[in-house]
Amino acid sequence: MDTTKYALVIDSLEKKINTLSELLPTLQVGQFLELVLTVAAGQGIELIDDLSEQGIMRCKLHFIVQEDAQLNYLMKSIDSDELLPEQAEIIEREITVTLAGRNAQAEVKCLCLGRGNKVYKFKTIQDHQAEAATSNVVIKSVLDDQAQLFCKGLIHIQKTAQRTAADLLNKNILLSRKAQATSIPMLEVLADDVRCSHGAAISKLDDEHFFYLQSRGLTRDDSCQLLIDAFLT
Amino acid sequence: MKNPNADIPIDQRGDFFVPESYVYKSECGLNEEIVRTISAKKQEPAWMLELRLKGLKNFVERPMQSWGPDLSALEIHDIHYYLKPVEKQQKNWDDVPDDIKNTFDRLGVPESERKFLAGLGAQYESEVVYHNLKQEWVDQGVIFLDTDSGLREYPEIFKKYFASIIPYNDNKFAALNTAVWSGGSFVYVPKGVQVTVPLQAYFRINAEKMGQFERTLIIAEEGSMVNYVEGCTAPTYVSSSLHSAVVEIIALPGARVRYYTIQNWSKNVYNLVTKRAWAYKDAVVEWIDCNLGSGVTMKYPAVVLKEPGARAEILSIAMATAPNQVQDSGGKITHEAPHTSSRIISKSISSKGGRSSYRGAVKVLPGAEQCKSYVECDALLLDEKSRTDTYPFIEIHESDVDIGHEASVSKISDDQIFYMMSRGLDEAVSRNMIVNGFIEPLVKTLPMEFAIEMNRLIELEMEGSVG
Repeated sequence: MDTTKYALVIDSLEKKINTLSELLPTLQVGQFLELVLTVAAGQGIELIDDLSEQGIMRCKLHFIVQEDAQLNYLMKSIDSDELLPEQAEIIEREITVTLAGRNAQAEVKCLCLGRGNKVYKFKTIQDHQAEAATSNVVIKSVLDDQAQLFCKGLIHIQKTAQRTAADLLNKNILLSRKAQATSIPMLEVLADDVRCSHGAAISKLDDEHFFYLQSRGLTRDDSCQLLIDAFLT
Repeated sequence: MKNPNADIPIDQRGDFFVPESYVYKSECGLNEEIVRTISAKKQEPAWMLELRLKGLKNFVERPMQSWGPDLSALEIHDIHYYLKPVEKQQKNWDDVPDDIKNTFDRLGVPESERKFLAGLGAQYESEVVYHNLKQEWVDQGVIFLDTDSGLREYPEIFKKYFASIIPYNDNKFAALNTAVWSGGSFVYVPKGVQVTVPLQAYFRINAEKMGQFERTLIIAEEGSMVNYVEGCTAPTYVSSSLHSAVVEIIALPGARVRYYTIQNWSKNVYNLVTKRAWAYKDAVVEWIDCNLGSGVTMKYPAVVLKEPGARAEILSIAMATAPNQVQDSGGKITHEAPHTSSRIISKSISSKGGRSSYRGAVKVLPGAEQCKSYVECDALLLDEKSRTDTYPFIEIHESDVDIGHEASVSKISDDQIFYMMSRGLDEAVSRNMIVNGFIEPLVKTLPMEFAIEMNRLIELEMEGSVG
């Protein structure tokens, strides 16, 4: 597969970008994307990476967030009921967030609903180099059929990154017995004045929630849809 | 009788040595001849020698693991692999040679045996020098021996279970242990017998450049219960010693096994240990693992839940409180059967340049539906020289399960100190109280005598951390 590399700097005022292809007009579907995106001091960007809008299956994203800058990244991959992918389809995101300046803020959120033979691979690194920065990575998935998810997340706090707040959360709901989730949330902390947490949870939808919704007259399928929608926000 | 050691600070009690005396000491280094000599001296059956040689071959061929703490400073060829201190094991402390007896007296071991133990084994270098089980338990059919005697006296049970949980090729250091194992405990609790007071084994390294490789095998028959405590110390030398134990536990249906470790090796000891238990239907296995000493520890007690209803609990305390000290500890649970549950709680404290890591794994295999597992690891980081890491692995192959993992890292906050000081406590006392409060949920599961000892040890490890 061809690899296309980009390096961009966001230095205008707050920006909202609705698809990756809006940011990278020359990008072609099927290419392996490597993107280094620097958010310059004091700037902000909101980037949406929705797989229903464009087909970038595999990419490596490196966000460098400078002093007082803000990054908001949202990745969405929702498989519909009807269009089941036939062969194994691999979606891969390798996301590194470097908090390079004081008071930098990064928010990364990935929401997936996988069916069929879908495979999700996430690798995230929250690299805190500067002090008083915050980062929050949330990866939520609902896995049906034989869908699989591998999620490896690392929070790395360097000695210079005092007064950091960093969080990492991976929550997965398995709808079928053949679905599978593997989660490896890691912490490496070298500074002492920090607040870090990570969490991982894997379970099925709660029977009591079903019971409540069904007692309100919803069918089981509708309840399921509603609970999934609520989970993936 | 008063403990002659009572006036010595508790963390220094282990830091003394007596002149070396032995009836046999192997040369530094490891080769086939040494393994054959150990086996011959112990007059072992042929199958054991064969297993030892397989272990040796595997150890030599296998590369060092690529993950975890750096072991490159460990000179595996500069260690004595077998040191036999006395000709014969004793059942009475008065018959134990004075040097060794005084050593254990100073550590307060015979005293605690009288007070609250059902049985005690004391290992000095490579061999168990004293072993005794109170008559009450002998009458009920409990077997508590050193592992070498276990092999001689109960060959059938021994052969059935030995190396069945941890095979000779499980990992590099389990292979080493299989090759040169000596000493350890062999415990067999018959069906339905509840051993209500703990059994203890105490491991002591006295010589320099020593390798201690004890091998423990605990078999709890249906519906039985046993608590086992291990303690360990060594004097501080400049050169490193190696302690590499293997512990295997079999908890048959309905059995309950609780295994306590109070690890307080001196800072020149590499502590590389493999511990694993199999829990059958409705059995409960609990590992309570306190790592205070050693230079580098790698230890991940594991439980395999083989049948429905089995439960596992791993409680782990790690304190890395010296420069470059590494506590790489944690726990591993494998859910093989449906309706099984597990819990891992780990608390670590890093200060004065120490590094503590939690490394754990929770696996739910296909078919193990309706499992529940909860992992919590909290780390307290006391200064900027220290480091803490968390590496949990969670692998789930079933949908109808409930798995949770949570970790947090924090320091003692100024607010907490401010509050305590406003109540009239000084800063050092406040810090101590906060640290004790942090690990309290674990310490309170220890038997009373150990809990007091733990609190005192922690207080001493914490000394001078106010800065």
